Amino acid sequence: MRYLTVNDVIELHRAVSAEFGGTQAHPGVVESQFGLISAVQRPQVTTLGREAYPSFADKVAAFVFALLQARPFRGGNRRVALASLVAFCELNSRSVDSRIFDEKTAETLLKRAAGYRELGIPPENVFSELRELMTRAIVATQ
Amino acid sequence: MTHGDKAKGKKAASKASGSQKSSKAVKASQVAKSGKNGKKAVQAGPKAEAQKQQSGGKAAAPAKAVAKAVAKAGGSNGKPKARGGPEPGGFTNPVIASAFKRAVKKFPNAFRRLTD
Repeated sequence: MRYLTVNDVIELHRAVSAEFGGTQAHPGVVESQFGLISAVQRPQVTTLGREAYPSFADKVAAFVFALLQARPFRGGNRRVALASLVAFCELNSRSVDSRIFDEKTAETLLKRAAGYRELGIPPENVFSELRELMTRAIVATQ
Repeated sequence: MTHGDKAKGKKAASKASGSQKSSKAVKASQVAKSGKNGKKAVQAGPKAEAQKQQSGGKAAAPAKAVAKAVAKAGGSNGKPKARGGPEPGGFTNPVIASAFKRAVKKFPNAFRRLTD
């Protein structure tokens, strides 16, 4: 299993900000270093000697949700989460099925996950939604 | 013994007062001397400045050489060239770079709509 590093995520943020801009685009500027490190290490968490997120879909969901919760950058956190999702899958020879995880679904899910506090959704519900979708959408590449 | 001590003390006091008087006189003489020295210093000032200018002129030549060397090493504006490294927007990991390109191709509208 290969995991994204802090540097990888910062580079993704830089690339996303350069590509799509935004009102608060500060390419590569980290606002919360603790949040970023915490999000990057979330898929590797173990509890009582066992992996907290055993399957790959669990790890992807945990990583994306941690990024959206921590908001380590000033702007572009949702875009970085989407790019990181794809990069994490590719790093482990997997891909996202665009028939299941299409653009509309991705946009809706990431908006819900990023604004679950404002929307009044319990975080465990958002995480389970993410995990279920990732379980269906992530497929192994040849 | 005590009487003798007092007498000695008075003598010492008188000596001290005498020394005060004498110190005033010494101060006056010092001021007069310093005045003379001040004139000398003023007279020596331009010479020292001239010497400093001469030494500065010698030091200015190496400084110009250094500036020329820096200009040659760097760009035309005198700034040093950027060191080799990852370009802005570049990735150290090529897998991440290809993944980012694929993500942009797959979800172009999602990226645009998720922009703040």
